[in-house]
Amino acid sequence: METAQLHTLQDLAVLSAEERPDKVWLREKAGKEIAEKTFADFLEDSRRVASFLRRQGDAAVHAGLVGTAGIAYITCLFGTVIDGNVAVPIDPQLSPDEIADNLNRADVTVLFFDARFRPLLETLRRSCPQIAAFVCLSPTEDELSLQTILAQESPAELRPVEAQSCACILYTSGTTGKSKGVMLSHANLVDNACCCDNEGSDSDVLLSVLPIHHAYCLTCDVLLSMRYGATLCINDSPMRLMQNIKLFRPTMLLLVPLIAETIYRRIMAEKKKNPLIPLRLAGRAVFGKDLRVIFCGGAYLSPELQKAYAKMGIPLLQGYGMTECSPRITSSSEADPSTGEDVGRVVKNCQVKIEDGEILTKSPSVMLGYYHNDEATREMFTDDGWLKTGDLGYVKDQRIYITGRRKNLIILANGENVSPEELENRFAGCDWLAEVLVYSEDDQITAEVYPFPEYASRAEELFRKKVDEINRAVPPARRIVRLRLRDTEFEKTTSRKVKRAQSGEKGRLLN
Amino acid sequence: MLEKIREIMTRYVDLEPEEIREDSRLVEDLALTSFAIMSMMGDFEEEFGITVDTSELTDVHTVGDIAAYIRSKQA
Repeated sequence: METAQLHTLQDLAVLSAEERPDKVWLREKAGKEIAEKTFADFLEDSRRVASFLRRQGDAAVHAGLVGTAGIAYITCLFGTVIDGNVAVPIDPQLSPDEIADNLNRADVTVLFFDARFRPLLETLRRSCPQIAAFVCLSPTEDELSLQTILAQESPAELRPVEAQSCACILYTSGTTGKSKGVMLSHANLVDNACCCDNEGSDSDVLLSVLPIHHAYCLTCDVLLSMRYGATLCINDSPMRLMQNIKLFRPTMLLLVPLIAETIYRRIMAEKKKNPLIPLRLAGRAVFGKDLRVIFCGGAYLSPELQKAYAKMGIPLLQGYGMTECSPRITSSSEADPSTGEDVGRVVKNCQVKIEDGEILTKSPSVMLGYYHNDEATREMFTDDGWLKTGDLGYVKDQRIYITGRRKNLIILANGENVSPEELENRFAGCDWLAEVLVYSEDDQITAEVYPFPEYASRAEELFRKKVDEINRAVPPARRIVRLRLRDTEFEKTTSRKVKRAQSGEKGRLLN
Repeated sequence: MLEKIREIMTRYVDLEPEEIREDSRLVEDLALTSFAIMSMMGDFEEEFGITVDTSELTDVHTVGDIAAYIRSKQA
């Protein structure tokens, strides 16, 4: 595909259908069969969704999506954006109240939802009165469904879409509590999908493993496979990744380090049982003979793991980015791999510089801003328009080396960004608690507390109870796993705030 | 059944089957990640011919809980 012709996601969908109308783009399991969708059929279905949305409002409709990746989900997402509307993919693992809050703050008036999340509807109907239409992604007699829309609507004649208009609002963890809605324009997403060359071809098969409400999956699985005319297969559950690799035989995979490491451990366990099997064969037994490359991002990737994969003959390539950059700032390729110390080479059209040790960036992929949050947007940029990544590091020969973080985000190996302040704030109102600190220890979220001395005898019980309550309210990936109880105050800064970097002894481990 | 569960678990933890106890906690004692637990559940589906509903796993914390869950799905 000639990338110079691409300005919007509408261009991407229309050109892919013109160039390869009968080529299968999407594949997913449907019972014991495999459902498929060609580029041309996909575009037509998306235009039917666009017709439906035309009748939901004159201006750009904000359509929320609550579900997991699948043909129906991606059809509704594209059906929204190709006609100038705004898609708002939501993390379905959030609590019903958080989902309602995110939908309200993004001014969502139409909601596409996966039938598995139907129990949410009661809360959403009550808490989101502005949502006028609920559309179920699978056939149902109880509500309006995507199937009804596809059967009843004619494909819309698409309206011109401005490249600089907002296409998606993606939520990202804020460092001080509430998540922020990152507005990504058509130009942002198209630029990022085209910021590297020769990553794939129309003979490639991708298996989409990561959550689709993350920019990494949206750009590098969905948009990249469309750009190259590759086939995108859907992993229906993290439980079935190994089985789905055998079924769909991908040539490219996008993973986060946690998944790459778990699979590696599994390969080594098999090798331990059968020491005579060469490592390459043990690796191929899991990944299949067709796998060419794995791209890894979202969290720190150890050089050791990269070397281990290299020994199996599978390049594990590292990239670096953030939602606000759509998301890629750097990338690696088989011809130009990261060395293990750096996080890849700065992508096309992207500028990077260092100021006070912090990595700053400027590129056509950088977001429009945070939705309805000018103050947070201003804080993210320097006066001359550079985006502050919050990461500390240096650049050498256009490669980025990360040395630390300025912001207080915990980045777990599964790519989840967790705000320690957000979890600490959830302890508010505990009359037994003097101080609390949340941090990552051995890649596990740890809460350490100092109770008021008069509660010392009951502190452990009260602490466990509170953590259980918090863990029920947050998605599994953000749950507090380790508990530490201390009988001395935390070290303080000169302004009497608890120091994030504690040098003294840690509290007693409770579990 | 417990023996088979332990054997499958050794794909994810660097332990001998006999070192995995019925009361071993998946996260705290065996350091299993959320993805490893999910992946293991996929293996149990295949091995025991059950269908795992991930929303039912909130009370599964130990190896013994896994065995009880599998038994409940087989019943």
